[in-house]
Amino acid sequence: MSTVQQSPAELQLLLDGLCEDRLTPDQMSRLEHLVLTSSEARWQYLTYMDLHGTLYWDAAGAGSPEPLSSQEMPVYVAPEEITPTVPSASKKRSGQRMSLAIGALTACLAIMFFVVWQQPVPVNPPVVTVPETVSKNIAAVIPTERVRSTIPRKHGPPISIDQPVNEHEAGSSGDSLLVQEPKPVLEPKPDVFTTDTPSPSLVSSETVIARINDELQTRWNVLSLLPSARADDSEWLRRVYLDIMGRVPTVSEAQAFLADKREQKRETLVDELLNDSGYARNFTTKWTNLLIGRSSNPQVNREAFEKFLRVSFAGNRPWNQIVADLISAEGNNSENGATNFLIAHLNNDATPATAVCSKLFLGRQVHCNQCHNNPYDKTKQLAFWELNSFFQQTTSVYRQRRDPNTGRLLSGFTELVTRDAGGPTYFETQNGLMQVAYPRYDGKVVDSSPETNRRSELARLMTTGEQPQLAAAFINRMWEHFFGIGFTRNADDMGPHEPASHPELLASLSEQFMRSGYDIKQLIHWICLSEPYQLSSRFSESNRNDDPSLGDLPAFSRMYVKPMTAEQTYDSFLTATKAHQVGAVDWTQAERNRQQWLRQFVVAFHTDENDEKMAFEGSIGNALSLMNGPLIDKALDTSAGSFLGEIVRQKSSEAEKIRSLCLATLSRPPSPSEFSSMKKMLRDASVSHDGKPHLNEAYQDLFWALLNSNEFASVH
Amino acid sequence: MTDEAADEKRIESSPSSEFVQLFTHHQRRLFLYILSQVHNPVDAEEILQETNVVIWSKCSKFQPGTNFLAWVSQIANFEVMKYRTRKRREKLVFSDEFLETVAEASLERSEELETRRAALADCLNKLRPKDRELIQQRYAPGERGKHLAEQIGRPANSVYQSLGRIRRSLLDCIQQRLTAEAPS
Repeated sequence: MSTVQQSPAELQLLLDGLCEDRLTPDQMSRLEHLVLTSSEARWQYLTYMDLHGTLYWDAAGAGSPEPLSSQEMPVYVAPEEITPTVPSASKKRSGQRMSLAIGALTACLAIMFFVVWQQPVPVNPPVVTVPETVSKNIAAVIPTERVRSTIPRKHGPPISIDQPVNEHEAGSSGDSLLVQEPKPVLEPKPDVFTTDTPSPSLVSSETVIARINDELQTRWNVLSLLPSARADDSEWLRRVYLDIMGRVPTVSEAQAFLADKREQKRETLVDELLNDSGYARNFTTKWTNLLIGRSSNPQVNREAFEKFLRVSFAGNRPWNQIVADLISAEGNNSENGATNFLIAHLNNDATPATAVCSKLFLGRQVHCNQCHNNPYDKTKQLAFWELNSFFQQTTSVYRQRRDPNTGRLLSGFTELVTRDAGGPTYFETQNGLMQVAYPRYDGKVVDSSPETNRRSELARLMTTGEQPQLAAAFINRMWEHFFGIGFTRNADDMGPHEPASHPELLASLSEQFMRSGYDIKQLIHWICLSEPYQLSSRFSESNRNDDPSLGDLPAFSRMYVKPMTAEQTYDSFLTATKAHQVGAVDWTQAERNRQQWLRQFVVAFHTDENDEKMAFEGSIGNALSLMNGPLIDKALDTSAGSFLGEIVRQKSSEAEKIRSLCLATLSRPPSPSEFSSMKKMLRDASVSHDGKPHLNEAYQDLFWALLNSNEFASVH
Repeated sequence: MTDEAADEKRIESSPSSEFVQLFTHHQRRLFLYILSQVHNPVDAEEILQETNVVIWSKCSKFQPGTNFLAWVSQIANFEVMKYRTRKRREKLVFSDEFLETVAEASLERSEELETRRAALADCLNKLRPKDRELIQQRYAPGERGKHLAEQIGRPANSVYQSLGRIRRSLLDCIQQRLTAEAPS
């Protein structure tokens, strides 16, 4: 035992100094002396360093997000060991430089595009190498690229650190490891996802709509806001067409609605539109852009994916079933269109798939957690990789087909395949240590053996039964679609740091949406007939400050103005000008034409997260294209058969012609002052300075001005 | 060797699931074991990485059923020695005797230390919010302690004193919990 009596305080100070690297050589030897001569001091030294190290270790993200009970403890069991998907440097973010370079290019492109955009965008066919040995008289199906690499990294082994373990358990069990079967919380996977039958306590549409109205009214009272006046029929009509159909109404559609005197005409129209193929097309466009992006990817079969969505929306399939299909899809991507969602996001160890699923289906932004814990809320890096772990069996294989007779290569397809792989996913914490994650969703652990199809399990865990988060995320996004802003500032992010503007309403709508069996058309019906959706976008002094762009939470006391999306602009343009009739084409060709037109605005960043930017809203490119592009040339065509030509030649009064042009573009008749200035302009043109009337040109100018007005370019 | 053959070889030499399990389970202990000898967490981490590489390459040499911690700590000892040889000239270091003594004590009482680590989580929760924040800032990834004082605009000495006080209160709390839990 010790003969040197040191004061405890002295030892403490020395240890403090050691932890902060502040000891002088003398202090170092004093500390060494104390530790060597007294077992008491030695123990203090050990416990102190242990505390220091543990604080350091846990702060780096090694800790479990929440304490796990021993039953939930995910334990690695791999009956047939496969080479683990070994982490590579690519799991760290890269590609930032790339995006910078492309960002710089964008600036040039914005100026250059109208010169080059008509040239077809080269689509690189996937390069396929066909082994010589393939017999030419067999239709060969050859797996080629994009098989996930299973080669371990060169420098060092997969290094992992301790997994979430209840430390009391670990401590008492010593070194003998508990290699116990993980207890799967789940039943064996089902082959089909059963439809949720609507609960008997389904309430009527009127009740739900009344609830929306009450909640908002209460908030207006609290904030002493007077809501805007009710939108007149033409304002509401244009809005509902753009929101549901993705285009403005035609002249005859507008005339019919404005002339309709029935009380229920708004409700009737909403239900008519929801049964129109235009609804399915518009929501297919919206969700295709969200789910696979606008950039073209040679592996992805966009047409097949759109077909999957179109059939789903047209048939009003429940939202949870659509999500289940997207997550669990397998097979040939031209036959099963749903596969294309994951095919588009499997790069970089499926980290984009992880982030996109969480963002779109759950309203949770987790891509930052790929590399670190969230400093603002409890979202942990481990949770990201636990979700990612569900995609680790998935890979896509490009298959080339051959004509059995001629031996010629036919166009191939991509197949989404689930491999019999098991075990953990490895990832790197911020301080460069390796950790492991096992498939776990919402606290439920899934058996990590190769026999389990993890995506089927994820689809089950995420979409069956009552899933408030799935429902809330969808409602928030739909609310954003119709009101310009959701209950949270960004529909992608409903995390704890983003308070909802109307949490009770959101919860109650989620409840009703789940009870309705995730009925999408029903939800749209509720929203479009609710009081706030009837309000005008014009504000008064009383509700001027209800402006989310100022950073406040929205009160929805008026309709916020939304800029048209690129697709809405294009489709509205065609509707207003009937430009597509000049050289009419079939439906598929029309889709391709639109896709080609849109491509000029899409900038793909080629980052690890498959980021892209739509350089459309309010951009120079947008303005130039609308002012000078071939589309407007067609629109302003006054030859026989064209829309403008017909109007000009019609045996109708000047007033009628002006009215038609206004209805076509703004869905409303001109105001008296607008009318008089338009009339004056046409009159000036008819008595031109060079003696010849320029009436055609005057109508072209008028139409051009209407098409380029702010009112045309916005949804209000 | 063709790529495929190389792959097969790798698969053959890849460790068993039991080994992966033991390996993951012992990372923290191993880190703390190394830290007790080098006292700088950043260096300890570096040594841990080096040690891991060796452990992995020697995985087939491990006899299942024997003491894993004892096995890996020997590998770590060797890596610590290599590190000390590298650093001897530039840094203040403890003597070899000191290291041996500490390493021995650390292994002897490793179970006790492990129990204490479990108690720490609760004690962190019991800290005053201000203290907890300071500790979190001090141990945030990438923080080396020296810039912390500048960052939060307090004199360095007072920050060091606060950190020392908080660590002591954590140690006291751990001690109290263990005393309370111990069978009487």
